[in-house]
Amino acid sequence: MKIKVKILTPNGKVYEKYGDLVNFRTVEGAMGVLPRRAPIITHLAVSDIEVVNEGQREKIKVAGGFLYCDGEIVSVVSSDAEVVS
Amino acid sequence: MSRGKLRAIKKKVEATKNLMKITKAMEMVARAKVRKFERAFKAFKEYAEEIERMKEKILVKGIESPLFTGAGDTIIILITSDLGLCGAYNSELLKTAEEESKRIADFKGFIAVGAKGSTHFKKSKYLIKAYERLYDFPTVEVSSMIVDKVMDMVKNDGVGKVKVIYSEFKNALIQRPKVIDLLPLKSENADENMEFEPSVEKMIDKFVYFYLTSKLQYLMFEAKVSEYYARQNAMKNATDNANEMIRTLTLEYNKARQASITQEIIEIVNGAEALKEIEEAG
Repeated sequence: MKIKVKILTPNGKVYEKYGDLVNFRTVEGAMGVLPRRAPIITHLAVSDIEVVNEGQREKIKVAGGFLYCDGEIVSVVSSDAEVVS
Repeated sequence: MSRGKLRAIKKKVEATKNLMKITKAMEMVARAKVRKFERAFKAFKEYAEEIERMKEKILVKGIESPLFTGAGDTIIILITSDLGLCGAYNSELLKTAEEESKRIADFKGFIAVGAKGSTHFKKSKYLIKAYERLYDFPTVEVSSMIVDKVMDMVKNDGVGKVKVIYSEFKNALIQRPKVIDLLPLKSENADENMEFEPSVEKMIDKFVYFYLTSKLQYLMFEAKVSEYYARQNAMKNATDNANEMIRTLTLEYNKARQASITQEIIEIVNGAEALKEIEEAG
């Protein structure tokens, strides 16, 4: 099972893909979520979100914001975001 | 029929034609702009809806703050347009605002966003703050400026409830004033098992601020889309009316011209007849 990652900004959807693992940083420290994680809402730091899919890593810069995960979908809302690689 | 009347009608036709050029241009401007706004609004909508969903999940039970309890006076944020010539758009909003403010017992005042609203309530003691010609395109800077003011009033002036009056966009032809509650925040289906990082107490203020700015920006966006559709419709009607008026006036002009020609012919013929009679008699 994979987890869907969706990153939204006021200018539209920046990223929407599936992954095995999502790493990010909250204002209190680094975290990672796997599929079927218990529901969580976090306050993100200005940092990179890393989506790992079959060994491939993709990085998306976000300007803070909030992340919500319900075990199937990770959705991020941020005032600005950009796919780095 | 006198020459003077003919000239007067011709002048009227010219004036109407010039007016029609203006209304037509304004209609086209509104049409071009509404497309731009609608595209941006669509992109923003997805973002705002996601934040709305998150808000629903955040547990607000047991947090003692006027943001959730709603203890205190009520203020209304009234979103109108800065410019006129958009039909009944502003007058309907102002009417709703007047009615709504009379209905609320602990009403404290208006925050007017848009020049039309602030001009209308300028002399009223209920105008707390006016934002005029602040934006054409709603940005997060503008909405956070207004939210800052609201938060300040919640903290220092005993405000607990905030309503927003804006123009809801139903479709291209229908835009209606709508009243919604911005504060207190309610979350009906909050998830008891939800985890928070950092803790909900630490996060809630930031989240509420984030939520309010995005919500307000969303409403301002919707109001703008409504405004431009209202303007487009109003200007289309004006152009149609001008066209109809030109048609009637031209008809009237031609009738008058015809009548004056007929009159002249009759005069000439009568003159000729008279001359003939004189000649025959002589």
